[in-house]
Amino acid sequence: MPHLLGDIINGIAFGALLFILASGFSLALGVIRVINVAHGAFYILTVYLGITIATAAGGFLGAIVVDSLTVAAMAIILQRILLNRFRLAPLPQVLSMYGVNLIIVQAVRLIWGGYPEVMATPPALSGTLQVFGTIVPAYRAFLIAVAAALAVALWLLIDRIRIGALVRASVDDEEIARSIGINIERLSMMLFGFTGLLVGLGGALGAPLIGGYQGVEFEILTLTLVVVVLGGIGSLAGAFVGSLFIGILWNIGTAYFAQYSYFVLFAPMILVLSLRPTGLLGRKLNIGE
Amino acid sequence: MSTIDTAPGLAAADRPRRNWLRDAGLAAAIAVAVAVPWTLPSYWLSIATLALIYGILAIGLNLLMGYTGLDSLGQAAFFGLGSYGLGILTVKDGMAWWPAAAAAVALGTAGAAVMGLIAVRLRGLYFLLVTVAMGQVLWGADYRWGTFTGGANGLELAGGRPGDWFYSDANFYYFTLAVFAAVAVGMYFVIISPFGLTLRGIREREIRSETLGYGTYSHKYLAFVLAGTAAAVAGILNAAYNGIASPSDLSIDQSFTAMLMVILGGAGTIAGPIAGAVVITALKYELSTLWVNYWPIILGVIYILVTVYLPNGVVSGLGTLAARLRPVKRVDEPKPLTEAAAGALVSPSAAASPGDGRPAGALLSRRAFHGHLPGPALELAGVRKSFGDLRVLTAIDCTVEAGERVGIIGLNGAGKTTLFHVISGIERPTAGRIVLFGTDVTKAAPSRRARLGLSRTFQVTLLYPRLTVQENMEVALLGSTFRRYRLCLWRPLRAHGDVEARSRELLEVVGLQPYRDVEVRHLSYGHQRQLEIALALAPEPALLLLDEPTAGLSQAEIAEMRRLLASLPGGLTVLVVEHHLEVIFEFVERVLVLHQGDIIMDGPPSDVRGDLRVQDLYFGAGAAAQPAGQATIAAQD
Repeated sequence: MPHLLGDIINGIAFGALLFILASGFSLALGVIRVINVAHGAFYILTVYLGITIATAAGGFLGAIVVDSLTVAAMAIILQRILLNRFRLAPLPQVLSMYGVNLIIVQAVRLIWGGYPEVMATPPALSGTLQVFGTIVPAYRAFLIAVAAALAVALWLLIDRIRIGALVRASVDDEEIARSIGINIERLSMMLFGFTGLLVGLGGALGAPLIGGYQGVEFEILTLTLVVVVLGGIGSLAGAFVGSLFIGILWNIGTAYFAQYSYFVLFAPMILVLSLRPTGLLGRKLNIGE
Repeated sequence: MSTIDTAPGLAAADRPRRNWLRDAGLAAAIAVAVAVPWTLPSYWLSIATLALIYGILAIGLNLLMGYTGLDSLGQAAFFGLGSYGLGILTVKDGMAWWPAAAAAVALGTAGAAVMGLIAVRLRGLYFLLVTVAMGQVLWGADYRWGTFTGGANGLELAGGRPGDWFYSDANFYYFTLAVFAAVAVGMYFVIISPFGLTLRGIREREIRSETLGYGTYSHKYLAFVLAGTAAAVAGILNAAYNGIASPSDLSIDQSFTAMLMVILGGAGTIAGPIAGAVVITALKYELSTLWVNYWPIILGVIYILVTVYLPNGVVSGLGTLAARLRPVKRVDEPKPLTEAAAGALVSPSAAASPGDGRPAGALLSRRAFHGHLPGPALELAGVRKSFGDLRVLTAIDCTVEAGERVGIIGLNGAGKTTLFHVISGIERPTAGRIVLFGTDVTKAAPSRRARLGLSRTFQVTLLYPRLTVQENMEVALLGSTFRRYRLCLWRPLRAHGDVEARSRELLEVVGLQPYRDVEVRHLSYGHQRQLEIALALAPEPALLLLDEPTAGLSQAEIAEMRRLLASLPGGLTVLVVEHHLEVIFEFVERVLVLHQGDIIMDGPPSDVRGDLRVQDLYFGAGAAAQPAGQATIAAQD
């Protein structure tokens, strides 16, 4: 069944893109406990900005660099002037970030007109590959490679160097962290900036595959939420597993029964949540939480 | 007696005035609401109608956010289930309007019932995330399912109103107003019912409610479903009014709009969400037509400004302002009250229950204690508890007979509080068995253990800070003695005179009755400790765990606490963790010495007092330190 195999490989590629997008979201959630509801807005901004950069000058690589740095800078500023006021208070964080979401999405619409646009596949990646007798677009293979490299890099960064554990410990016990000289504001700012960098990267890489259209910000936010909730809240490994799973399901769902593609997401999410409220690889909850 | 009469006197002088103000405000609001159709231009009529519809949505959400402490971002799901339910049933199935509307409300309620099963198990960040995720997936399903729901274009209802009479916008407005009034009054009754107080308790300190015998899950679940019903009602009205069910009904934007209304008005106030709905709806329809392109940006700025500058809402802000303008009333200052406090310090029972002068124990044991249950009160078999690699309890084997009083001593970090957490169910043991009055409760929830007769205090006081002293007591009573009222939604708490009477009795015992209308966060630390004990005694437990009852108290307060302990009823089994050894030795007949998670000694106080290992632990190695330690004890005596 080469056709199904192709769908699965395409699904893995889509899952790879989802992972690149979800990793930033998941990190922000797991480490500084921020639900970034402006995630979709960041995505839509980077798609249109990336297309402009890629066509005007700089090409694909330029788009990646500009997108990543732009969102990273925005994230740092937002953390500094807004989120920092509400550390560990989810409700005001979510409300104010939703305001940011509205502003960004409308600004993008006013600047770029809100027409559906897809970035041209970069020439170097526009060919195809043969995998087990199935033709796979090179760009999709490239996405898979990037996601795999990113997963390893993040794993090294978070698990090996334990910088993530250090940050999380600082968030958990601010007073201790302060007393041993850790600047939490700065640490959170850097971290949220880093998650912005990842989202910007995801947006630039997603521009040739998904592109931008009316309502895409909600779709990306929804898919990311499902990935994170399914994989386990605040778990990078969970986000990886969840991304691949949802990527394949989503791709097959939209290919064979486009109308019901969201039901394909809904069922596993409800199932996992009823068995494990914190997701597949999320840590278990104590009574106090 | 005069001491107790004074506080109600103060309150009585204050209450009618506030009620008068509120009544006047309510009457004015009703007059304005009724007058809208023939005084304001039709443009404003549509804003008013929509404001009422969103008011219903916000009132429902407020029950969750303001009273239960669950910040839900999934309300759009139930709103949308209502609107699409009405649309699909009337258009596709050709059902008549009224049965279709009833079925649509049932559909929204069912949606909340299903989602609630999952979501309500979570809290805070996790609850927010899961509600928004579930709502978004439902939005996506609707958005993509074109053949059934109309997809992005929505579903035209071909009219959509119940009958010809309703097509006059003024008539539909009155219809909406009637539904709104019914929902608002219904919600008001829920809030002032025992169930409403229970929810506020859960909002403040869920753990405390669990240890007082509440299965908090079912309470939160019921609140979630009620909020879902309100959202579905708003959804059908919205679809009927606009003649269309559209994906925006289900979108995250709708959930956020509802949340903004509640926050802007003031979560946890009755008028707040209504005010928020009116303000946001009016702004939306004024500004979005004036500056079409810039409205989303303006709204985004409103979100940010409200979160930063009005986190408690307009109504609470006005309330604070009104409180500042009112003459200062300080409950703890008047002279008679100071006398009461002084009296309570000297002899709590005498000051508190004048007339018969019964000790606390006599009053508390008046009702049936579980003390007569056969067999031991508590058995711990091989109980271990580890946090990761850290072994806090190594292997605890211990039996406590009914009626026994056992002290637990040990250095900081010996595992005393963890042992209490494991016994009361706040922590699950890593291994071992816990048997309470013959029932294996190793895996039972704290509330189940409470119902078997277990009650406890916490080392760090765990009270309901934003409830008054009396309300704290009533939460404790509604979890136990008056359990039958706790899900009572239709009768105001204040109509249950027996709860109030019992609360008064108990508060008099601990000398806190004069402070009954004071919010607990304003109470002095000593009084908080006393209330902590009173809450634990309210369920009339058979086994009481006291975790450092004298921690942080002054000498005078310690003396009073000792008298309170001494007056506990005879049949009550008590486990007490305490650092003041003289308090322990005076109160208990058996002492367990805990060291590094292990019971290193178990015997009567006299043995423990003379034991070298214990002296070593407490006073350092060598006999030289011993007299100094005893001197400390003597001084404290």
